[in-house]
Amino acid sequence: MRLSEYDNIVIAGMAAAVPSQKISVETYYEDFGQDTVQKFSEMAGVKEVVRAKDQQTASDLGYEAAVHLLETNDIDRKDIGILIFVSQKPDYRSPATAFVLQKRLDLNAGVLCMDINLACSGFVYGLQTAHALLNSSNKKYALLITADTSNKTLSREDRTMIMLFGDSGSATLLEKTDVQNHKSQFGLRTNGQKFKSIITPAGAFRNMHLKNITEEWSDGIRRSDYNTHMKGMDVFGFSITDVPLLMKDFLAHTNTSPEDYDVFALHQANLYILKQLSRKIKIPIDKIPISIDLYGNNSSNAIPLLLCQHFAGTEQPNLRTFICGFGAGLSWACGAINIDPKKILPILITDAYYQDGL
Amino acid sequence: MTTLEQLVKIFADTFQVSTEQITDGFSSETVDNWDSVTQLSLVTTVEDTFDIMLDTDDILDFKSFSKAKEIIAKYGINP
Repeated sequence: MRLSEYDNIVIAGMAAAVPSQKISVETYYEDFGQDTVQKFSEMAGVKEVVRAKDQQTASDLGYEAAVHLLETNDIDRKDIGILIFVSQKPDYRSPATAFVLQKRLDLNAGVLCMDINLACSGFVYGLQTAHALLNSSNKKYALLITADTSNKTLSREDRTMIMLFGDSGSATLLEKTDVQNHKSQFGLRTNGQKFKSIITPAGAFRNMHLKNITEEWSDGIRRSDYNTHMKGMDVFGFSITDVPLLMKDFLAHTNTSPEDYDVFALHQANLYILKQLSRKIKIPIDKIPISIDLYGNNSSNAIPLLLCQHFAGTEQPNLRTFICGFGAGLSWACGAINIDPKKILPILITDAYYQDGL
Repeated sequence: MTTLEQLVKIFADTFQVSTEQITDGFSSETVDNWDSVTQLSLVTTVEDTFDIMLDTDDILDFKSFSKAKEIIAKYGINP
């Protein structure tokens, strides 16, 4: 496990944005059969997901969350020294979408901008990276934007994924402080041997010339090489073996136990996996908030979306929060952070998109 | 309904087939729509019906009717 720790950086704000379009699982009764859909819904815990409009990109959702956050926090934007955009759905093949966001957010030239191509582990990886870069810079703030529109590469006939994934964006503002009592800790693992477990084979440069033809794959589901494919049982096995192992190792390395945390903000992969993690780590189920029922699996935004849904506007004191994300890569990570509910904004609903003029 | 009949019905309902089709040869290798959705639906229905919680290895091994009978027997549910 790669471990890192910081004591002078605080989460100064967090916002999340979702599109207005809601798709209920009942929509799929005709395609997949009512019984199959109901069993899926009961197992995965999904009742409906949010889905971006055609023109709305991941960065549009992340941008709206960032504007919501920056307008609420009255800070000087020239003090932002780092902008990280975590997504698997960039605006263009090049340049990185962080540059588009820098322009739209009107950040000055003294900002380090970069994209990180990660999915469900992306918030924790992004947060760790933002901590490291901010800690070693002369700037006061880092802005982490996570956003994904997973649905845009899913086959409409893939019942293992199409009912599960939602689209959204988030923005998190980190602030360097003089007071060294804001301990943030992170533990990360990676297994590139399993890179094919969740993959979109075409659309980049390895398989440039594949035709976009939908046909039946060996699992009986019709999709094209431009659709994302997940080896469901492999990923499920990873989620209930490697992930709890990391969580246990992290608790041991940080000399903490579930009693030391107020909240376990876990990636909303599916409800059955959350129940398995609760059981294996012995986390009381009431410490694990749920958002998958209303929003689905939201890739790198799952954790901030969850925190915004459950804690925005609440009067609770600081929450010692255990975070854990896991998915494509394979990649998995956990962390211990402090969340001040007063800094968490309510979820923004938006269909706004950027007309770039191209 | 016997335990065996209950298990057969769970398989038949999950895969949308008649109970006559549920034999020991019914497995992820022979059934077209056996995927993560059906396997996890199967496991959760079995857990709820028989009030058991399967271990990780058993969840992942739950890939045929004959294996299912073997696995639930470990939890004191004898088909």
